[in-house]
Amino acid sequence: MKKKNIFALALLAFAVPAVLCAQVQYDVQSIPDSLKKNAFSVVRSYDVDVDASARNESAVHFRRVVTILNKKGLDHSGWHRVYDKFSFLSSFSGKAYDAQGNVIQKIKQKDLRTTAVSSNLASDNVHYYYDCDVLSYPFTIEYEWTEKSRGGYIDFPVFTPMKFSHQSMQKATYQITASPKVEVLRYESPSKMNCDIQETAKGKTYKWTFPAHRHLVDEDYIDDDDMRYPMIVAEPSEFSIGGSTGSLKSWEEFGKWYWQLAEGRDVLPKEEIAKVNSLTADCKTDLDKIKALYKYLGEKTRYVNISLGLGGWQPMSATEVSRTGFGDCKGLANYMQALLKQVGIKSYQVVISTEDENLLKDFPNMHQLNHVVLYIVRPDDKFILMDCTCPQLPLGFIHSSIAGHECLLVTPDGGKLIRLPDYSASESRENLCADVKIGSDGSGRLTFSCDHFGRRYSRTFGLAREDKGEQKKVVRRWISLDDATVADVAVNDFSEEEKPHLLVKCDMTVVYGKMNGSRMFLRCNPFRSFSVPRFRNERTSPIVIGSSYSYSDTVRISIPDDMKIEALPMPVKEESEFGSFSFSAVPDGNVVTVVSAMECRKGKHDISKKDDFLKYMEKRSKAYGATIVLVKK
Amino acid sequence: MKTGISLMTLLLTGSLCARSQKKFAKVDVADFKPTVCAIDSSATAEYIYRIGSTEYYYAEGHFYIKTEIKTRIRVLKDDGKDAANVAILYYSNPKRPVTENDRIQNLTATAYNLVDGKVVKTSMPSKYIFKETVNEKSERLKFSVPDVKVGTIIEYKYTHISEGYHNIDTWYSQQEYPVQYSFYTITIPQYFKFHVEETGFQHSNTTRKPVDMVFNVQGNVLKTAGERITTEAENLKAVKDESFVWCPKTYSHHIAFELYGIDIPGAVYKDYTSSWNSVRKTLAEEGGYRKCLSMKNPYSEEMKQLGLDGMSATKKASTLFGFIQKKLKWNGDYKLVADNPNKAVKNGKGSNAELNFIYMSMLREAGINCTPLLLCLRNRGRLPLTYPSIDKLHTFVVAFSDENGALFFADCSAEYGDVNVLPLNLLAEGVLYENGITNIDSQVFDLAAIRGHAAKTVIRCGINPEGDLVGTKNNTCTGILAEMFKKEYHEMEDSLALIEKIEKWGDCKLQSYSVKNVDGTGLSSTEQYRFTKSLGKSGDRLYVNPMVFADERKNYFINPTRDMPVEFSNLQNTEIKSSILIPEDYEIEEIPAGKYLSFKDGELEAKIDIKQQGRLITTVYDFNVNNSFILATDYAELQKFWTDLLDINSLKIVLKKKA
Repeated sequence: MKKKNIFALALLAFAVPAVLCAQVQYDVQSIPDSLKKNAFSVVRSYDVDVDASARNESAVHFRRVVTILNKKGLDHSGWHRVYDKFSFLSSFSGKAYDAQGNVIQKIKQKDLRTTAVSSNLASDNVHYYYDCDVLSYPFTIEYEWTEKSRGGYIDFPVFTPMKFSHQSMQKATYQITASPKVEVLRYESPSKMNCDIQETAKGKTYKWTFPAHRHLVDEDYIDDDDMRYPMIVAEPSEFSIGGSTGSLKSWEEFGKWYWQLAEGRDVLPKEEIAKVNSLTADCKTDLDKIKALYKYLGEKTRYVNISLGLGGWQPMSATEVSRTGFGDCKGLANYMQALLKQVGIKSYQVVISTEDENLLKDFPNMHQLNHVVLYIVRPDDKFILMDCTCPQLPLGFIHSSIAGHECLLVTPDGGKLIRLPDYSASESRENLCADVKIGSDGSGRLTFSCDHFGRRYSRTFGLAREDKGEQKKVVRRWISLDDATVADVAVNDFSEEEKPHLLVKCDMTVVYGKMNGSRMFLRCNPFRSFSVPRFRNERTSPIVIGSSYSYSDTVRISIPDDMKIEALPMPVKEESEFGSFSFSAVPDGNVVTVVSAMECRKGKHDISKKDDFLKYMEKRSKAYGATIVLVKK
Repeated sequence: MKTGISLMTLLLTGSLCARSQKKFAKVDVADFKPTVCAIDSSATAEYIYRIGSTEYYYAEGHFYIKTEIKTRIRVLKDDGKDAANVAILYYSNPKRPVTENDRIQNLTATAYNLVDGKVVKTSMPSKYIFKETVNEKSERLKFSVPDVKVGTIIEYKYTHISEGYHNIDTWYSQQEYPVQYSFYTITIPQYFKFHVEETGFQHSNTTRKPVDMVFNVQGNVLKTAGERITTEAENLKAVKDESFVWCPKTYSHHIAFELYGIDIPGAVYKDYTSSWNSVRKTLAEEGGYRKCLSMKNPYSEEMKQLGLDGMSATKKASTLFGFIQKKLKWNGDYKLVADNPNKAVKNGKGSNAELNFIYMSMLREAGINCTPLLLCLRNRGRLPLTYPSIDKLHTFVVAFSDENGALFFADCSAEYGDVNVLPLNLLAEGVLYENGITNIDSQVFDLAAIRGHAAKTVIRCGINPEGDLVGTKNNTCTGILAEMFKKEYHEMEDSLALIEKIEKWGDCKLQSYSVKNVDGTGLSSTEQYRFTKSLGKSGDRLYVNPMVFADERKNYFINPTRDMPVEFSNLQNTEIKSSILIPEDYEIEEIPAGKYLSFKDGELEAKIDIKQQGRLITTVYDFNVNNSFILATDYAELQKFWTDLLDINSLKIVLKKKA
């Protein structure tokens, strides 16, 4: 009995401190106020340990502890991971703690839910997730899990300890142990983070330790490429996955791997070869051949994504695309490349991001690249770019999702970084001309034409393929008048021109003027309006304007014979580093001609320019919101 | 699984008209002629036909249902190629034996193309058929038909086998593309009693006929009677999303089935939903309602501290509602039944059903008559018009009566709610679980008809020498408007986001901002702020909106036509009272006359009164939504009303500087 008691006491002696430890550790009071202020959650700790000491296989252990301060942070409390053919969840557990750090809930792997739902036709991806259901705030949630690779891996998990806006961090560590033969390449944000490198029996260990970090807030006019959140992107210099090996030492090397993935997959069936030859038999020039095959691509194919195994990176064979008539972006690009090759035209696949304008410098990686297009070689160092998933676009037109983006040209000699052309403000413009004749009751007939170029064309070209009813619905939304009916619309797509543009002409019956006793109030320009952003006082991020474009509008308003102008807005002209605008309303007899022009300039501006920027935006908003007041004679 | 020798004497082709038979013939050259959909020229694809037939058969000791689907689609435009990607959802629970799960069999798909004047057929290889796990109880079979272009005719068919003989899927005649021809037939043995309801605005031809049926039951031939139901429709428009519609499928043409009884010779008749009393019985026995509605109040002791004595029934109910909200949290689930509400007490959280049962136990102890009001979530449809239903019940709210027998409602999912303040998704028609708690002679109540949702605004301002309005705005919301305001307030990222939102909305600058009663339950909440707002200026004139801040600014009804009704969220009253003191050196040059607008004898009404007394201009604006359901046939009139309403909201007073 005595022995038992001693034993029990001994156990208790060890157990109590451990319990107390957890309480103290996760007591919400112990979080510094500076981290809690205005935050929705705080990452108490996030530790990731990658064991890549065995060649071509890895095991990653995660432990993430987050205190959810209030209801707004509830979205920060869940857990979600995606696995595929090359990875799996090896173990999982979790705990929830109350505000004092006491355990209130234990979570087991069987509590996880799974789904394989995807928008693809087929995918290996399986989503594992857990929706935290603790609803008393504040509370702390802890997840601990291990993932293992299966059949190799390409990179290590991207380390992002702070995942959300309004989430602070107390501490985080990221450790990678790699076999001596593997060099770990890394990209750090903030840059030049101290990485502690040690030689161990297993191999080399790289360790980063992140100190406390106040929360960040997502705001407008931010650089999407800018890695504001602390992050480590790490990868092995050489990788092996699904039997395929490659190198990430440079974009050139990465390109070589991409090239060899597609090698041999450009074989066309006999009937397809015959078709290609017949389509191009009468073509006098290479350009004619490209046009004929581009048209054929649009008629024959459609986008369907099958991402199984290496199929996430390796394109579907040209034979299969030929037989099915479908493929994803890389499959369709590969297929088109094969068609062009058949008629002796050289092209290369280009891997690009539709989100990031810039690729990480000297750091090839899988994370940024999400699309493949085709680069068709032309004489004199020229090229035609073709997005094979969107063959409705004019040949060679670079759409707004990729214009100006850096990308990887995949050649037999390896990858080569290039940048696609972007559009200047004058190349991305809308030219609008409107005439409206108003009666004494404010109603009238309005006709307008609007021509869209560059990025503006990219946004509207699809209108040409809609039927009249749908075109009318879309065009109706372009004008912010309460009462307007589109009588007729004509859409002309000048896709064959060197600078494609979409011309829309419209005829509407409108109530243009709001009657108010003896007066009538008219919007000077009912086609445009601009809002004014608001920036936080503590904002430090630069102000970024993502793209350049311009509007040039002329609205001629014929006022009723029985009314005269009582108030006309003053002319305004403003020129700044952010852009420029001008506005004037000039009467000439019974007609007031409102001319407004605006140019928005892509650029990055220091936050010290905040007040100038906001003042500019306010003036612009006011100018475009101006009204004319008429009064009965 | 062996299939028994079925079946029915159904002869599919015999029940079709000659024109329909053409549709099922082989695809020929003439079928490629149409390049535009005659029903809707904007359609990117159209169903040439959709045919379904459901039959019962007997095997391995029980009934199965087998549904065969045949579809033919024409691709008209590029975007219509998506019609070649199909996903079929079916029941599949890996924890149950394979034979108890649904199966999709005999799937074939073909693309027909016209090539050099000839019809070329491309069959889909099985390697383009994939299975996808959706959740613990369902999977999807996905496939993509190859060789599909503009002009292609796609055909696919499959058989769906289900052990759920009691569960017949609703047949939706209208789909995401227009449908030239829709045909569905089902033959149901007399053993299974089904409610059948056909709804929708499109015309259809539906027949019901008695038939003879034959089953092979363990080697014996079983003859019985049955009923064949057939529905046929042509030239159906596509179901499109429209604004102000909670559940578009509600208004699309469909035929729905719900089992109300099982009557097998030799066995006791099972009644499920032959009447609302049967529904109640099912809920009482199998849904646990009997037990839950007699549960002990877990907060009996704490309730004694609430000082309820002497309070009216509604006051007691409101106090207890606030108590529950502080004690327990809603976990986001709407449920119809609750296994054990006491679990929620232990966990501190639960579904709305669990919390509502606990709330009702407290109401009963407080001497208040209460009962569940069973209902269908607004965004998932409506209760059937012609029959009682369990299938369409998703949850319930609490109904209670006061001293006069008047009925009130509450739901514990409304964190910021109160008595008669429920979340928008619950403002639907419901059926009382128990009669007799009210003297109102009805068991069906429409929660969207609850009144008391209002926003009352008082604005006091003057004009400063710079020609800007400077003043205060005080806005008090009650009912559901208060609930929505509180929710929005708490969901705002931070105070900056809130200020930004108000300044953007009001085109003004705020100097101060405060709120009252934004936490927890309660019928009203208030916001107040000081503002500066620029006025329209020209020379010596100022242009002022008498309301200061317009109430309605957007025209939601710009589409020229509309197929579905307009469902406003709730009834409400908006009142704005403003007073503007004009500067001494200004006079009123023009002041708009008052206006009154009415839609359909006051279903919607608005009025504005503007008066001048010396330097003070006072305006009273009222906008009332007295009916939340507007028929599609009244759409043109609604458009006119709304345009006039926006005009009222943009009136201007003209002030001129004195000479």
